[in-house]
Amino acid sequence: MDAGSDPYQWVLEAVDTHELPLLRYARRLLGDLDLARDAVQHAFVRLCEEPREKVAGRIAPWLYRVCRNKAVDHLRHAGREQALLDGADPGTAGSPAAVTNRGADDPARLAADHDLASRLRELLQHLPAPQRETIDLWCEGLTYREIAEITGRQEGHVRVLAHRGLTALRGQPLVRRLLEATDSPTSTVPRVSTPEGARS
Amino acid sequence: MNTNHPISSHTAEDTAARLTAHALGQLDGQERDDAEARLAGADAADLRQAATEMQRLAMALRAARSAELADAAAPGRSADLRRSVIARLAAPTSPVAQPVCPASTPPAFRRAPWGLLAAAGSVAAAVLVTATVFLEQPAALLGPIRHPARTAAPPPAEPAAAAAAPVVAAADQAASVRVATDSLRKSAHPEPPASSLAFGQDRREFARSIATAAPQEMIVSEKILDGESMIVAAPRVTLADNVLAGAPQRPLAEDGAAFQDRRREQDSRERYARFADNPVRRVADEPLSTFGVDVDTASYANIRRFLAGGRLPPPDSVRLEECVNYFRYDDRVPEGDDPFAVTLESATCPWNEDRLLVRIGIRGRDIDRGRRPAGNLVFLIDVSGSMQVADKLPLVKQALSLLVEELTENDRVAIVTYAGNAGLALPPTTGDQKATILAAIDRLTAGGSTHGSAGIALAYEQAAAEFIVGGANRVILATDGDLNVGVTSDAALVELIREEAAGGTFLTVLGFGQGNLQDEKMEKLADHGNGLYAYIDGVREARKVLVEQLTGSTITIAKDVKLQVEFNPARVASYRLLGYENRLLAARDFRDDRKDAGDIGAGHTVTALYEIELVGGHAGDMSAAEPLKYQRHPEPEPVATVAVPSDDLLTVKLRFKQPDGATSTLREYPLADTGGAFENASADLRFAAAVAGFAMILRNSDHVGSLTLDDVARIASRSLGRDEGGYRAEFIDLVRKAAIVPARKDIRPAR
Repeated sequence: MDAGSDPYQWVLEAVDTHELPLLRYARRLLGDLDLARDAVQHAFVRLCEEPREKVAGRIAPWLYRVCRNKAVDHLRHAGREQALLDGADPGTAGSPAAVTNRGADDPARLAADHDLASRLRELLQHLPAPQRETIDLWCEGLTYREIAEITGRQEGHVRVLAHRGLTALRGQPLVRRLLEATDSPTSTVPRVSTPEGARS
Repeated sequence: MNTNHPISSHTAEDTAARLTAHALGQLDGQERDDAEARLAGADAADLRQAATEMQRLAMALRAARSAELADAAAPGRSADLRRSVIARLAAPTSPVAQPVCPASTPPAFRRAPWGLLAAAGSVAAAVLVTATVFLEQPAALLGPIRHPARTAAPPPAEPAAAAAAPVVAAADQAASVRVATDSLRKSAHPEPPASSLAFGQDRREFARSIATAAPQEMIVSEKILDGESMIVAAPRVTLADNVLAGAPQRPLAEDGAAFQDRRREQDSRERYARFADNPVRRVADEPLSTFGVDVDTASYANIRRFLAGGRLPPPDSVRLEECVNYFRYDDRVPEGDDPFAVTLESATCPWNEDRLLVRIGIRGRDIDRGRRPAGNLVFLIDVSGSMQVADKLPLVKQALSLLVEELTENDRVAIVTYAGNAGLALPPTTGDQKATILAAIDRLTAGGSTHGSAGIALAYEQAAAEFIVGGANRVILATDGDLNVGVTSDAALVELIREEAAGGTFLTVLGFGQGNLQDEKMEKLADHGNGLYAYIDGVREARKVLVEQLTGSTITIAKDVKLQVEFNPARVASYRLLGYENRLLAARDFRDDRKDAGDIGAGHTVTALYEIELVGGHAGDMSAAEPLKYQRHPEPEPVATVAVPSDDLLTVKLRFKQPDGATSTLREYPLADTGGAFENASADLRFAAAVAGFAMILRNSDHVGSLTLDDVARIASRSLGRDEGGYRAEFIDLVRKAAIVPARKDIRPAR
């Protein structure tokens, strides 16, 4: 069996591409790395059983969906599914005030903390779960349409969830400071076309 | 507001959400054009500002997220995942997949996760650098993230440019931002960079060659006598695992010699009683085979721990019946008031076609969790200094928290600690006061020396104070096994536990941690306390034992359950019981109600396997010894053959007592069917056979014939059944793991 016709190839490639993003996603849902690994493994094992042509072109959303179902099963078992499912979304309560982050506006702490990434993650962590999940999935490179498919929500709902989450974060002192520190008002017109250099 | 614009027909939030979607590159066609027109408006400075900020924030979040877990998919784990994928793909009969995804129109997969094609931490780190830079250089990032569909044809992958991005970032910040965003956009193209693909391919080849071919070169040609010398090869495994994972970025924190010393020291503190496999018995000599049931599963979890650490378990730590009983089997459910149902099945033995493999499946009555009797649970927790490490007290606390979720107002919980600061950490509290219980669990800290007996006495006092008649009264001991009984002798401790068990308070022992585990002693304590011994090696196991088996591990539906198999000498020449070596009873003890045996909890399944050889089998008498010189071989007892002529192969006799009873009840179940080919047997029989084969290989048993780990994996992968909880799939993973551990010379490698 040569490598080209190797039936393992496509699944192993999917492992290469998606294992880590899936693991991150599952860990955020479950709050536990080992449980997350179980869910991710489950998704890939299920992928092996799936006819390739059935998932061609949609492997990523398929994997996220299966992984999510597994996580939801688990959370349901542990009586925690409300943490993930929509009941917990306080809607417009995702205002900056709702995203309280102890110490985030303490300048001394901010100055002492150079780990921007971890601060941003911490802020993200305080969003209502549906908003956080939507932003997380976008961060992993999924489109709104795929996110809607994965989470079983309407695309319009996904759009609003992402917007609410980002709006809430944007109001955070830490984020404000970062955005304002680098702000130059004259150049804020979003450019519509891709820069030339980006296309070559 | 531009009121004649279509967008304005939506609510204000929806409108804003659309602009955010645009900034995130999520709008198409008319919607996108609308959004752009809106942002271009003369009065839209605020909107532009907002969209830009949203975009920059989103990019920063994306970069922050991608830095997360950068090393988590690296050494070891990725290889595991690969192996289980390979194992699953290698199974020729792929079970029918259940529908998980709705059969909606598949959206084109337009955007591959970027920068994540390899698990290499350096990629993620570089992305983080560029993100930080971009926050300081907003000017270069003003274009919305383009929707890939908008470019007529995606540009071909440019691995060189993408791979170079981090390097450029270091050299020229301003330019790097552009390159970085460019590579973000490029990542819309699903092709991974060629370099990463080639690397991944090598890795896969290597993984496959190890997982599926004979890893002869990895076998250490050293004569190994016990668990200690086995670990000499351990560093090589770790190395191999690193290579498998393709990212040897987590080097051993210590050099080989120190590593070996530590491992050896750890292993040397673990004690396993020596025992030999049951021999083949002639039916003519011993028509009865008698043993007490055992629902312990600790040995399997322990094996898993060894293999996870890249070592083979010491042979004496492998108890076949505990491995087989780790898994659930789909046996018949008991009907009526019967506490058990018994399932009998036979088929050709996979490691010796001249014999039959007989499976005896006993299934205890399930008690609905909602209707289970009230529990009076006293946790006795070892908080000595040795419990401080992550896989001990923290895991104990996690396990208890899981259990607390299941409790109701009818249950009572108390927590007693023993160590320097021994005492009552939680007085008996009803199960609905979860916050109080969880707070008490939270306060537990390790420190001080171990003095077990005082704590045990206090725990039994608490249990007695809240004794629930007809309830599940249990003391649950959680320890790493370092149970220094101090002034009290072992014998006195055992006496105490037996007395309490007779009084209706049973003892369950949960073993935690490694390196200090006194397996034999802990199992003995649980046995004397009519309880369960389980080794908890992770949250998963904690959940299985404490939550999934909650009813099982807290409600005994029958005690002193003994099994006796009578073989028909007219049909069976010889037999061998697989496992249960330390549960054997003399035939006369079967009817002796004073003799203790194991208990069965609600929902438990117990499986016993026999290899039998039929009279007139091809192989002749498998127990054939040299003929005796001074006496003739005893003839089969005429009573059995003449008085009761029968086609039965055997009869299983089961004796048990009600949980509060003193006299036993007898049930009998005959088996006449010799079954057919192994391949046609039930999934449960085949899977149990795979587990038994695995245990025998690990035990280096002479009875396993030519069976290899590869065979075990193949049998198991074809007999997954429903596999709720995925335990059987995990088993396959474990078998693969065992196949690549540098084997002792005496262990058969995978073919």
